[in-house]
This record gives sequence, C-alpha cells and structure tokens, in this order.
Amino acid sequence: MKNKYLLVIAFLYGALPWSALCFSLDNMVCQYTLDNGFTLLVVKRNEAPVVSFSLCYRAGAVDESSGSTGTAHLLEHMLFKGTPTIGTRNYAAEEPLIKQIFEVGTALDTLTQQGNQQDDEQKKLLQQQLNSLQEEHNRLIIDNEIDALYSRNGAEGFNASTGFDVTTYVVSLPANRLELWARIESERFSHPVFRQYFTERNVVLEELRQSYESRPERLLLMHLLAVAFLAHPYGRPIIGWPSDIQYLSPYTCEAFFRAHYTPDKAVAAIVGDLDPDSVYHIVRKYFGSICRGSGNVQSVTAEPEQNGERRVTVEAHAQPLLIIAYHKPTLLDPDDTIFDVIDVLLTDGRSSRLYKKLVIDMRLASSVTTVNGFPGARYSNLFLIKIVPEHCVPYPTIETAVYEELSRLAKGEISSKELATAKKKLHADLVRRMESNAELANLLSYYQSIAGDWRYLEKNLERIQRITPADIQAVAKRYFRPSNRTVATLSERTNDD
Amino acid sequence: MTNILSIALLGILALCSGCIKNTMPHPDKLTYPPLIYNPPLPERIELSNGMTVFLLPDHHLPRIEVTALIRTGSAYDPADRAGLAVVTGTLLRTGGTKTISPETFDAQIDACGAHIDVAVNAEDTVATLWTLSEDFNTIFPLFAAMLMEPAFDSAKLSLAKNNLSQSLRQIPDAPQQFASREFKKILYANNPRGNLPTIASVQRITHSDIKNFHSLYFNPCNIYLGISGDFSKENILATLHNTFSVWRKSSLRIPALPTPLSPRETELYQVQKDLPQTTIIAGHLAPAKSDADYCAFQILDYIIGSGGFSSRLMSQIRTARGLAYSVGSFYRASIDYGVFAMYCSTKSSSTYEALELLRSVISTIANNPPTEEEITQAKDALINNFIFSCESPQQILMQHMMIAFDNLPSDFYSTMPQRLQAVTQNDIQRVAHKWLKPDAMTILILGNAHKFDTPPPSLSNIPVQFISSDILSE
Repeated sequence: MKNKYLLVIAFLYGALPWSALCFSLDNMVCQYTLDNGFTLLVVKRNEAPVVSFSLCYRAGAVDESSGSTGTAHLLEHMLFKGTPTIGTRNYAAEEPLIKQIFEVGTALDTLTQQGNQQDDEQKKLLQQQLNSLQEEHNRLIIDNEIDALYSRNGAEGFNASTGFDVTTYVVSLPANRLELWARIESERFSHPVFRQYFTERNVVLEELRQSYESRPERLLLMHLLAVAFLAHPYGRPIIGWPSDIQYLSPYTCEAFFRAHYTPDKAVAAIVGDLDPDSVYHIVRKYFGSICRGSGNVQSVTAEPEQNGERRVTVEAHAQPLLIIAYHKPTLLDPDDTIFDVIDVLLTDGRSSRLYKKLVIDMRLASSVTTVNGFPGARYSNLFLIKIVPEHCVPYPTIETAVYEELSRLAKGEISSKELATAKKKLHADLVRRMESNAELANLLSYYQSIAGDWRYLEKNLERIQRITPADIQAVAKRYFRPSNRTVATLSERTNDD
Repeated sequence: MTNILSIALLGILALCSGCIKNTMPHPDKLTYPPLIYNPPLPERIELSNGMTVFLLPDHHLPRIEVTALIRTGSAYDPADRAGLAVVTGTLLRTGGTKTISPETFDAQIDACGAHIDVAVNAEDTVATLWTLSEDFNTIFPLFAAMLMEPAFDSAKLSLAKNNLSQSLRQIPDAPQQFASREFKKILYANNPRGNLPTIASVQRITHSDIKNFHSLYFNPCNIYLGISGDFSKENILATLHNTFSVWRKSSLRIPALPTPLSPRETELYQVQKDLPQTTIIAGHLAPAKSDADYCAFQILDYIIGSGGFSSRLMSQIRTARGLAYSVGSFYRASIDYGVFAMYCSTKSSSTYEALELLRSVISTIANNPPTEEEITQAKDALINNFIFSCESPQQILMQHMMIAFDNLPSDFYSTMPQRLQAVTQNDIQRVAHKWLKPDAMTILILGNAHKFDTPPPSLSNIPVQFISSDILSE
C-alpha cells in the first residue's frame, strides 16, 4: 500500500532455502484450522515482546477477468478504507451516500468511456453531482482510521502487497496488541467499506506513473511478461492496463472481494512473543464467525508450450538492460527445486558462475541477477536472468556469454564442490531470513497458501540436499533451449519520437 | 502437533450464522496488559590498540554478526575525487588482502554461505559480517584482514570504478533516486556533503588515493566494533586480542566537517527530463540530534508528513485529492545538524498544484497549529513503536555504537520515550515557528516542464533556476 513494489514480492519469494540441518519447523509451528476453513500458523519466539502478522489470501491478479485487470490491486487499496465501525462518524448516514456515489461515478465512467461529444453536458452534470456527493461523504469520514489505530499502538511495517498469486496484509505490533490485530483484520476482511473509491482510483493511476511509466526496468518487465505469456494471466500487469484501471468499477471490486476473500482462502501466520493457544482462542473469537466461501474454483487459461524464441524491445531514454527468460513449471514440480539450486549456482555471490564470468572476468556487465519463479509460482512461470550491460557492450556479446554458461550446465559441467557451496548457501540464507519475525511470518503464510503446506520449506530443503549434477544437467537441457526463451531489451529511444 | 490439531478441530463450535453486520465496540475500547521490556545491555570493552568493542551474545540462532562502524564516508572525499570513499569501500571488499587473493576471498565467503559487505554513507562507513557460528573462525580472519591489510588489487580497482560509473549512469532512470541526488547537491552547495561522484570524478581516482584514504581513516581508534550472536565471551575476546593486536593505533585526529548553511530565501531548481510524473523535494535544515528541540521536531515531522496516512501531507494530497501515490516528509538528524524535507510524485499537469500544497502545509502551521489530538497520535505512535528500534541484538548494538560514535549521553536512546512524552503543545508551536521556513526552502523539481500546470501567484515570483545534472559529465 505505501511505496510498495508490486513485482518485488515475486522476486523475494523466488528461491526457497530451508534446511533440515539445523531446524525442525515441526517443533516450532503450531497449526490450527477454524471451522470455516481459516488457517492459523503460530510460532512462539521471545527475543523481544513484539509480534509480526502476515495474513495471506490466495487471490491475486491471476483471478481477474480480462477487461478488469488491476481489480485485485485496487481492492487491496480499498481494504485500507475502513469498516462500518472504523473510519466513520456516522455509518448509517454514509451507507446511502456510498451507494449514490457508486451509481453516479459508474454512470459517468460509462459516458466517458463511450466518448460521444453529445454527452458532454450530461458528463459535466454527473461530475458536479459526484463532487458534491463526495464532499458530503468526506464530512462523515475519519480519514485512514485503520492506519491511525495501528500507528498509535506502535505498529511497524503496516502494509500490503498484491501479487499474481496471493495478496498479503502485514503488520508488526507490540506483543500485547494481538487483540487489536484480530479486531481490525476480522472486520475489514468481512465487512470492508469502500470509502473514497474514485479518488483512490486516481491514486492508483499515480502509482502506475511512478512504478511503471517512469521506470524503464518495470516497463521492460511488463513487456517481457506480455510476450512470454500469450494466454495465461501472468502476461498482464498486476497494477492493470491503464485503460482498465481508469474505468474499474466499484461493483467489480466488490464482486472480487466476495468471491475471493473467504476464510477458506486465508492463512494467518503469527510469529512473536505469544502463547500459541491463547493466540488461537483470540483468532477463533474474531475470525470464527466469518462465512466460509463457496469453494468455487475459477479456471485459469493454461499457457501453451512455447515453440520458438520471442524477442521484445522497449524504447526509452534509459541505460541498456537485457532480460532473458525461460518457461518452467510451478512451485510444486520437482524441477522447480532444481531451479532453486541453478539460481544460486549462477548468480548468488561473487564467485557464482554468471557473476564471475560477466562482471569480474569478461567485464561485459555491471550486474547480473536471476530469479526462479517470476512473476508467480502457482502456475507455470519463468526463470529470469537480468543483466545490466557494462558501458557500450552490445547485447549479442552478452547473450553469447550467457548461453555458453547455460550450455555448460547442460553438458553437466558441475563440480561437487560448487554444488556443495550452493547447498550450504541455501541453508545459511534461510537461517539469516529466520532472524526476522516478519520474514518468517511471510514465508509461512506464503507457502501454506501456495504449496498448501508450510512444510514445503523443509521438504524442499531435503530435496535440495539430494540434488546431483545429473539432475541439474537434465533440467538445463530440458528448459534452457532457444525455442523456450524470451529475450527483452531496452533500446535508446529514437529522435523521431 | 497432532494433539494441538485435533483439539483445534474438535473445539471449534462457532456457528456461521450468516454474514450479519458487525456491532463490535470500537478498537480504541480494547485494553492491553502492560508490556515491560528492558533490552539486554551490550558489554563495552576497550582493546589495547584503542578499538572500542561492544559484545552482545544471543543464542537464538546459530549465527554471528559483526559490525564495524568507521568515522569516514563520502563527505571526506577530496574536492576533486568525489567517489573515493565509495570506491575504497568496494575495493576493501573485492580487492583481496595482503595474503589472500580476491578470488580466494570470494570463494571462502561463498563456500560458508557468509556475507561480508561494506556500505559507505556520507559521514560513516559500516562494514558487516554475517556467518553461521560454525564458520566464524574461518570467516572472521577474512573480515579483519580486509579492514587491516587490504591489497586493493589494481584490476579490481578499474572494475570498481567502471561499475560505479555504470551505476551513476543508471541513476537518471530512477526518478526518485535522481531527484534525491540532485536535491542533496543543491542543499549542500559549498559543503563537502554536496560533493557527489560524477563519471569524471570517479575516473580521476587512483590507486594511491585509495591507499592514502585507507591509511588515514581505517585505524583502530576510529572504529567501533559490535559483535552479536551465538558466541562465548571468553572465546571472542581471545580471538579479538589475537587478531587485532598487530594493528597499531594512530594518533591522527579527524577534522570536523563544516555544518551546512541554509539559503536566506526560497530557491527553486528544476531538472528537465521527459517523464510522465514529476518528483518534488522541498526542504531545509532542521535541529541536530544534540539540539534540545530534537524530540519536539520529531513529533512535528510526524504530524506534517512522516506519520504515514495520519499525516497532513498524506491526507491532503493523497487521500483527499488523489494527486500522489508517494507523498510525505522526512527528518534526519546527525550530531551537528538535521535536514527536514517534504516530497511528492505527481503527474506533470499537477506539479505546481502539489508544490503549493506542500508549501502551504508548513506555511499555514502558525494559523493551524497541531491539535492536541494530532500530538497525542504522534506521541503514541513514536513511543509505542520505540520497541521496534531495539527488537534485535543487532539493533541494540548499533544504538550503543552510535551513542559512542556521536558522543551522546549513554541513556540517549533509552530515555527517548520519556522525552517524547514530555513534549507539550507549546513546545511544538515554538519549534514549528523557530525551525519551519516556508520562505527559505530549497526546492527541486524533476520532470517535464513543458507539461506543468501554471504556477500559482504565491510561487510565480520565485525565479526558477534550470540546472542540468553533472552526474554524467565525463
């Protein structure tokens, strides 16, 4: 919500290290399921009297329909606007006003979208009507009261992020404020009130200008996805296509909320200085009476197999940037775990293969990074290689060097020492991420939502320990093929623009 | 686990009785048990060579973290060598040591899954080490050698300079980062803090510049070392004595940096770039950390723009008008001065509308002073959130190191909640009157001037100074 980077979540959740070597998660995580399907995971840690919450809904941009892209994200914004008891001076007076604002605003949108000049007078009238309704409504609102409540109770990192696969709402609080979280969240995820809808839609358009249109790298990623995914919704921007956002209807947001924000799709992970059983009792008290969802599963178009290299160029006044992407299967496919190791082998650390070759030895690039699982993990996704070229180095030179390194993997040139380093790194990085309550809460809620079981973390690490050079070779051969590749580049905008 | 699960499943009898509207009491009615937290105190030790060490054992996870806080940074770059501190920092990490080649250094760190990083700020440099405790004895000697006897490998020097130049070329592609750089440049005009690297200045840096810079600032008397994590005090002390005893103290004194000066009247600078959205930063100097007004100004800044959605800037520019996604203020204080600034990103056609709103939030504060409600909200937020500044052993250590670094009273951070609580409404008004300067601000606008709206009368008599960034000068 605040300064959030929509695609970052997919980057963060890329590689998934865990180790059976020094932890047993089973001893740490208490899992509860409420009658309505709401899942609760609690980890007690008592370093300091604080607690982190991560509430993850298995609903995101993939669940939108064509023509209303951006719904999941705009809805996330609307879920900060309060409830019948939070954010209002008089809810009874507000209700009919909100209804009218929706009607007038939607009528205005319809006319604007049709773009007929003879409607100009009518549009002007509707705009005036909308302005005066909004003014009247604003007098009944306590602005941003959820944020104010959390803030004055000491909240840290109150935020949300919309991804393709999931939408996550996070906050950390002093440990004695558990009930405040349960009280606010249970109401906002059962009875949200969409205040200031049309103003917030403009905020999202500013977010679009800031996070995409002013950022060449984001623009390039957006184009890469659009080209790599012909049919699957991963090909659309999470924030939505501009013309969709501009006319997104509040009724679409409401319908999306009713269909997807149901307890059976929710996972709350709570990590901090709290007793798990008392957490369960409070959570049951507040979330237990929310109606379970219909259980209907929407079908999502599958991406057909790629049959030939695809290339896309975006013109911008910007430094060059090269992104190479290969299609690969979902998180739950065994090959995904092998990509976790490939990810580390290629770019994790200064002695990693691509970093050493492109940045240190050949000086072709100033940075190189890889991501396994872009832009999501619930469906077949991409393995991404992102390269910032060194000054004046042409793209083909870099591409050749990258493909050479990938074909070394496909030939099975992987030493046991190198593989051991990668496994050790995955283990150590996990210990590092465990230091933060918030990070652990995010990991647990995410994997419970995506993999259906937080134990995925441990199981995946066990699989990682068993991976052999032959496994890596097989996967490199299977996926690092030219016909399975999409290449995106930024090029200097020509003067005729 | 199985037991807990079955109890959970059997125990839930709550009925799903239809989605009736909520009638729960307001969350402000909730009461909470008291929260007592006394963060553990690190132990402070002085090594014989003058290095100050802080130790804080913590056995929750099998890792050890080391932080070296060094009094040097970009503000200490010679006038014609901007970028020297940053390149030195990069080369410390990448250039090997007298006995270990850069390649071996990297390979050993990677083989242990450890991390060694050097971050160079304006007035300090922070070198950090993170390792699993089982590898501490392998990794710590690398970290120490890096600080004491770096080799500054020549091939890695040209690599570091090229990489820094390339990252400078990329700054204009990230508008907020670009605006922030240009704002610093004008805010700190004629001050070493405004001497920022350009491609030309980076190319001038030589091997001997780096060696001199290192020998000037990297000595034990100028370093505060903090170690937290899974270690025993006896072992760590033995390691520290063995490792650092060869590093002899130097008597060099580091000259104080000159304090920045404020302009007497508002200066409006504009950097032209074809972007769909304008970034505005407007600010001026503010109380130092050591100033009696430090706490009151924190509260004032919270009310103006750093208090997230509760702040005046957010509510007037984003919530009420939908003019921005990012809008707010920040207040950063170091020991001898502070900076307060407001920022906003808005579409080109609302540039001046947004700037006027930013300015009016501080120019009208005399007539529209912070209310008791706003002050209570700010105080509660800052005080209740204080616990998150000493949540981890690493944060606690850093607070104690900063106290030593800035020579502050030992209870400077621990008494912060009480000092915030003691601030009165009169204090806030006095501090607002004394420190906020709506007519003497430094303003930076980055965007496409051809698409801006017309400036309002209040801004139209301020001359716009068009500047072009020197970042790409070669």
